[in-house]
Amino acid sequence: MELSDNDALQRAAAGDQDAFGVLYERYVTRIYNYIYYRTGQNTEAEDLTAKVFFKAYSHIGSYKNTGVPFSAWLYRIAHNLVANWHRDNSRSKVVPLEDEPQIVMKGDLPETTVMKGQDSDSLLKVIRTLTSDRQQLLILKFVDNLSNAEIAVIMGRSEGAIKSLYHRTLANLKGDLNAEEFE
Amino acid sequence: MAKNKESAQLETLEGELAIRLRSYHPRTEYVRHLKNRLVKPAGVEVERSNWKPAVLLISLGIVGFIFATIGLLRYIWSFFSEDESADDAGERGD
Repeated sequence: MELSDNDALQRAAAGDQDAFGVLYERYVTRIYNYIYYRTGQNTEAEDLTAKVFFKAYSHIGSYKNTGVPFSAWLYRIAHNLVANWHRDNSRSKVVPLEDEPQIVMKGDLPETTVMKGQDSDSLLKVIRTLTSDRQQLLILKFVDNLSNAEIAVIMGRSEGAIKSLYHRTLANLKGDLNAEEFE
Repeated sequence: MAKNKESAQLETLEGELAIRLRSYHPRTEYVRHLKNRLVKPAGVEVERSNWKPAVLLISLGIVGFIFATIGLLRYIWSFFSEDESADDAGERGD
């Protein structure tokens, strides 16, 4: 029987390493993706993902279950580490997506040519100019395929607020892409 | 009309996001290695050093060395004692 997050969390907090291993395997790919899209670098994504889990592991004993899901806690740690990383690297040049990791291809769909004159790297570049909560929303929605309700729980907002944020994000993104096209 | 166009543009953008924001798998080796660093693999125990035989061996060595040294000193002592008694006998003209 598969261990629920809460059960695994309780066991891990009591010192059960295998339970933490279960949580790790359940979330490592999601956290890695989140950091990868936020930093644009595979090596940094690997390094920061490791830091997220080491931090979670060292603080799991003091984790208090207040109804906030474990995933939200992990994303919060990842968010803070990414913010620190951006602050530390704000003066150095970041080369985006120079080393793509193993990729899960959805296939070369014909829709890839939908946005004429707009290559995908520039799309990612524009996404990274969005505020961190908007980036997180897009990553949770498209990379992790989560519903608005699930995203709301992770981001600590209401479902309505997430819907509203999503529409504002799309409109903002469209405007930024159009502006870049004319530059 | 303009609203329809805008809505279509947003749908196009959503489609592009769905294609571009793909899920990546971190390297399998990396995932495994990180797990091993985080969680000690089951069945692996830190080997305790067996110090008792080593201490016994060293103690026996020390005791043996002491006995050997005493034996050697006694031999040297007796050797020179014999020489002195022979010299004394020679001086007396025995």
